[in-house]
Amino acid sequence: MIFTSFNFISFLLLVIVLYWTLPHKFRWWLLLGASYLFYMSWEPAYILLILVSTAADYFFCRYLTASSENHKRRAGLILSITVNLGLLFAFKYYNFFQDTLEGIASFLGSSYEPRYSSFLLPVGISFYTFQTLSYSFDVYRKTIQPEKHFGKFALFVAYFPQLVAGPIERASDLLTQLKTKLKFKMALLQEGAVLFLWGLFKKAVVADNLKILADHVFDNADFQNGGSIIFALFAFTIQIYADFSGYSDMAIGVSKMMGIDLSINFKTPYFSRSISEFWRRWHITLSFWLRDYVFIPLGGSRTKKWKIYRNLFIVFLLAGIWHGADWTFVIWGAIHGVLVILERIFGWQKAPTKQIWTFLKWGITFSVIILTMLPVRADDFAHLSQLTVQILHLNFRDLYLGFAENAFTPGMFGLCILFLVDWFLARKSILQVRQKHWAFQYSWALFLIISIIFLGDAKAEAFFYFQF
Amino acid sequence: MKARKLTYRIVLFIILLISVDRGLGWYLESLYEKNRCDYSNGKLNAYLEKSPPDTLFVGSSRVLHMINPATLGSNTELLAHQHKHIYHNAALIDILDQQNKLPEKVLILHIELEDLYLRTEPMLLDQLYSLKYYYHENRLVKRLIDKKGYQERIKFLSSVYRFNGDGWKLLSYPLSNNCKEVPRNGYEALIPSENDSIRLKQSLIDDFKPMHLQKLNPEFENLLRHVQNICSKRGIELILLRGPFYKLHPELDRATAQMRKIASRNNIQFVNIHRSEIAGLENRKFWFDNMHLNDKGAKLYSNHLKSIFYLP
Repeated sequence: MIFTSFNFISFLLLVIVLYWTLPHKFRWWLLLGASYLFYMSWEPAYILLILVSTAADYFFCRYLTASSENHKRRAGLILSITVNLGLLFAFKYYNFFQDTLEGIASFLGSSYEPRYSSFLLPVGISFYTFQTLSYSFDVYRKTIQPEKHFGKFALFVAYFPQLVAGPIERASDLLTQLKTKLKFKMALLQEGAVLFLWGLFKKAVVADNLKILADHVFDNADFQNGGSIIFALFAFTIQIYADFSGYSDMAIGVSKMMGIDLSINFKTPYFSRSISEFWRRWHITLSFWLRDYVFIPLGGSRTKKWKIYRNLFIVFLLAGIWHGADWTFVIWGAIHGVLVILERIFGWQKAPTKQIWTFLKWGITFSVIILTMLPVRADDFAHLSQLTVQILHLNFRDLYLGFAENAFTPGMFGLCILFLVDWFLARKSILQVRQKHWAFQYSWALFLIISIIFLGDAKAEAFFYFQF
Repeated sequence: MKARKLTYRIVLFIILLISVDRGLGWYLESLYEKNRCDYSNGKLNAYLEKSPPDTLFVGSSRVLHMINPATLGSNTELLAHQHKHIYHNAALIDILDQQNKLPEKVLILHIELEDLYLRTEPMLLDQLYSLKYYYHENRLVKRLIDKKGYQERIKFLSSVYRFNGDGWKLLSYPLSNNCKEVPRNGYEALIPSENDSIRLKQSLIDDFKPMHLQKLNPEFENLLRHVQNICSKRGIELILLRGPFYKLHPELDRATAQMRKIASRNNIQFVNIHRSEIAGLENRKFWFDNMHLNDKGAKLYSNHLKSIFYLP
């Protein structure tokens, strides 16, 4: 039941009507039931993973709070981490681990027969695992009190708008809101619906059309020259942003309709002037998670320089491996880690005084972001090597689009709208649209609906970030 | 007061939405009907305004690029589209029947053996999207598109949705003068190039991955029967054709036998052409990839078809 399906829209309408009709004390029941139903629409059995993760965090956190002895508190935290990361390893990284063992064995001249697991990757496992882990860390650090109500805690873990692709929320924000008594306001529905439509536009018109272009080039790599591959990388770079930020906007919109504010996950990241700034504006909730729970505990910025660089590198390696169980993602994380370290060494992050330098820095940063998307898009290591070699044969003639040519104009049209909105309407956050006059908001919604019907790819389905 | 204001705004919004949708839909429809260029069914429109030929080939790119009607005779035409298989082609024949534009004597329907299996049904259903314009006018088109799920009926409440896909070309191409006219007899040559050998090599790797042919799709036989009924009613001879491959996947031999069985059960003539039947086709220089002949290969193949079908 993905956000772009009619099944989801019918489900959402029903949930919203019931949510605002029911008295406050029953709303968490409704949202919890709806969230479990939503998750089970992918693979019913995998609800067990969420239940295990929920129960483990609830009871271990209660246990660690009940004790004042440090070793018991630590034991509670370690148990919580073990269960969460254990599930993540078993379902996401086990086959990658087997492949790596096979690779090492072959490198050492020996042989190893990989024993693959046949489990499908549960949708959104990396997102909800990190969300529950943040709860355990916060309780351990005494930043928050553990939640006493099991049902409401379960809802915090499984809250359907952000369950499968974020934003990764903190208990201090989401759990508090889930417990707050809210009054119905029509403006909430209106704001939420406009945000949802904008997310849908990004997904259906921009991401899905550009995906056709990018896939066509990457899937026919043998007949492509470097120019085509760079063009496809550009299309893919925009696709992945429109897809993921589109999902985030839809999630924020859906939640808004129920009066609950989710965190902003994107702040026009492609206008960044450095890679460090990019990570403060791209998938913000993950970046902040890694900052708060990995970078700072490792020593953060208040330590020796070489240790800061080491910590940064570790954080970016983790960001890479979080995204996908493949060495190509590790490479991507490592490249970004090295770039951020170099920026620190050479002081690239400092704001330039002249406009021309600002523009140049933006151009260079955006080009680097595009080029570093190659490992993210490559199917595997061999495909990455092939594309890297081909990219060196720069030749912008003979762009071979074939069938994908149909997606070029809608994709570019969507891209222009996306650029204009990011530039003029939402320099800091798309939520600024709500400050506009009602007539503007309604015309905007009208434009989005007609564009989606006319130009959206009617055959597209899943969101790119679901695989994480 | 606030609630009333909001209600007025929402009503106004809905009225505007319907008006814009209907207005744009009407404008696109007028452009669609005039269109004779190689997009948004311009090919079908161009065919519909002519008098029907004696012999018509309907099929996928393996007809479009492999059969040259100029070799076959003056009153033979192709109505073939890239990547369009049985669902699309049966619906297309139904539309031709509705418009009295079926051929006078022979209809040759090209089939792909993957069309037989349920596994490929989602792909076959997706291919129908280019016939969306006929959703409200043709019962077969509607029935097949509705197979995708209840949401299709909701989507078609919009007039603009019928032009989703390459419908934007109706607006932008006249402005850019980017009209590529459709060839008169429907044939589009694949000009031999140095890339052919690389493509052939690559497609042999791709096409030879295990196919795991599974359950037969009952809709395939239903559609064949439907086409057969249309042809019998009009006194047209229906022939099923399957063109040659450079190299055939061994699993497809089993599918060929099933295809033959279904055809004979419905008294339809099935012509299965193997590469070895045509002298010279074993040479790689005649092939664009594993599934398609280039222009030189198409001449050999078309000559062969002429000899077996005894076309005038």
